[in-house]
Amino acid sequence: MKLDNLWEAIGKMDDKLIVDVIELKNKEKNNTNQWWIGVAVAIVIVFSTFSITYTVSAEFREWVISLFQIKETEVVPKTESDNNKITESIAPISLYAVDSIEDVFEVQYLKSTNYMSTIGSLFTHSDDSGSIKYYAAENSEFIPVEAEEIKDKVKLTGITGEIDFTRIKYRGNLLLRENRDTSFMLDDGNEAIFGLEVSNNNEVWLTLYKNPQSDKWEYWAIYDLDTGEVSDILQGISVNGIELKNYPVLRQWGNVGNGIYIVTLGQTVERAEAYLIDINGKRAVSFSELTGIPHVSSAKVVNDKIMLLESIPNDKFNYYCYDYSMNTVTEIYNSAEYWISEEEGDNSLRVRFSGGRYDFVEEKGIIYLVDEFTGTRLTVEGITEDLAESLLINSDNNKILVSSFGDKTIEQIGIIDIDADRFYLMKRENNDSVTEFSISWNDANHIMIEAENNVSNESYIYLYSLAE
Amino acid sequence: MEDNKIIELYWNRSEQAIMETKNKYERLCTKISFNILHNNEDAEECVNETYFTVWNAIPTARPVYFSAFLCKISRNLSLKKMNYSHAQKRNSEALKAIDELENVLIHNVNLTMKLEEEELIDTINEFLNDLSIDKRNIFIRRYFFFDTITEISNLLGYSKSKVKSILSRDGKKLCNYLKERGYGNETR
Repeated sequence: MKLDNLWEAIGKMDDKLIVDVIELKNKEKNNTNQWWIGVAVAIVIVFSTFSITYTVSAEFREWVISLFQIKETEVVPKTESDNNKITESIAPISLYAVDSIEDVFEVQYLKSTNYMSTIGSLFTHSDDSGSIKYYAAENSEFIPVEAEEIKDKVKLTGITGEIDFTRIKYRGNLLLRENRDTSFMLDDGNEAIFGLEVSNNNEVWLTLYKNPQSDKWEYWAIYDLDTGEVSDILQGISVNGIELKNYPVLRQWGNVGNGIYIVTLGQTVERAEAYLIDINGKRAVSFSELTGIPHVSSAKVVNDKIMLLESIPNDKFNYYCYDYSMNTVTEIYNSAEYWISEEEGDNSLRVRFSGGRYDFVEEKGIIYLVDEFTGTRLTVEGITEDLAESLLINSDNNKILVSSFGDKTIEQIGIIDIDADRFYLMKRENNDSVTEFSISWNDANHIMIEAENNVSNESYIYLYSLAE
Repeated sequence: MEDNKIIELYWNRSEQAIMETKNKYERLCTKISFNILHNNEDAEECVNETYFTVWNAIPTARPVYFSAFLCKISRNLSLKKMNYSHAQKRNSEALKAIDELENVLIHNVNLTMKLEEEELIDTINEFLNDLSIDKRNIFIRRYFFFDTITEISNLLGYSKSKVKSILSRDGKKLCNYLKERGYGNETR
């Protein structure tokens, strides 16, 4: 060791730092009576006796994300004149202003005649006739991108319908956009519709939804965009002797990878259970069987972990992180309830799920951000109930957007940057006569506010990112 | 058994203290020791020596964080043993981790002079406290516990390349941290 004194110093670091790391690591407790799926990083289903490790979450450990209140109020630049146009383009979209707010937020202000939105990294523009064109922002210009219409008759599980989509390819990414509502009625009086989407491993899924409003039944197949061929890869997979497609409840699909999927199925919503499906082996196994948790009523995939929700009486639930590569199950929430706006809780732990790795929870009037992988609680300085209820997590699971709406505009936006342990909060004003109607993540690093002027029909997109 | 009860046993010079320590922390100490020595017998020897050291230390020291106290002793004894042992060096995870961090630091920071130890420890603590929770966890797992990249990536749900990239970036950050405080400046 060339730097002996450095290694000695590391060896003498603050005890508390070491203890925190130890507490985050799982404690082990074996249960050797589980039927188990052998899952290494490449997941292969093998029914065999295996051991599973249960752990308790480290939720008692609290960390703090500090508030960085931006003193300057963002004032959205006026759009009246074209003189302030930055980009020169034949496209009907222009970047009309940029700003840097206290070197924390970089903002780009875009405007367009008629309705403008985004799909992936592209911008869409509808003209007066409703025709939609696609543009990419390249070198301060908006360049038109070619698109191709896909109209086809498709058949799945014996049901025939139509699809009407636009296919756009840009820089190796495939994007699909629905052109019109192609829903239809089934013989039994139920409504149905086919959808097309790009899965996270770049397959195109053709999904049949029955009664899409009820969110109870969806069945998918692989669709070949070039030939129109439909491959029903779920066919032949049964649970308790009943084929997947014949379950009245079949929903919440997720892709684990390597031909393994998750789904919730059952005869009723209340009795439905989450399963792991092996497409290649044509097998299915319930998470209850895998983990010993009595009733896993839904599951979701986050990175390489599967989160399991166990319904318990009185509308409450327990929640677990199932790490299939380590054979561990960590309890994250015990006897918790859903955090529903304007509903009083009964002093239980209330959870506002983000759909990603971090959630807000409220207990005894205190709000925490919780890491679903470890149960670690983070106190976020400056967070309020209203802001917490607006949470939106980005696709990288490392930034959380919060916001508060006024009458016509968004009055505050904040980003919780988990990696930096910072909560950046900014007040804003928009004195133009526009209505701001949505805020979302445009990609993992950009927030997008959409606005429109009801008189002139102009629409606006404001893009925010944290300065590097 | 709660840590404070185990410490009470040491204070009362009860040999049950060692049994309880063994029951609760043998795996943790063995893991650190094995990461460094990559040899079961040597690791076992170091862990037993850890208990003996704790037995002798506790009447004069009363650790607030017993687990960290044990880890530090195990790590220290194992590193000392590794320095005297040549046979197992090649496979030691600790050596890989040490090479990894030293490669980042060695050309930029002069720590070969014996500097004020307390100052360096304070700097390390300050640096670690400035890291985000996950990054701090990764750094300590790798350079204190000498866990493998695979173990860390599995634990935190990150890809191995992401863990490597975080370690590399934080190694450079540590380098800048040390330079800002004058390490590497020969006039210091």
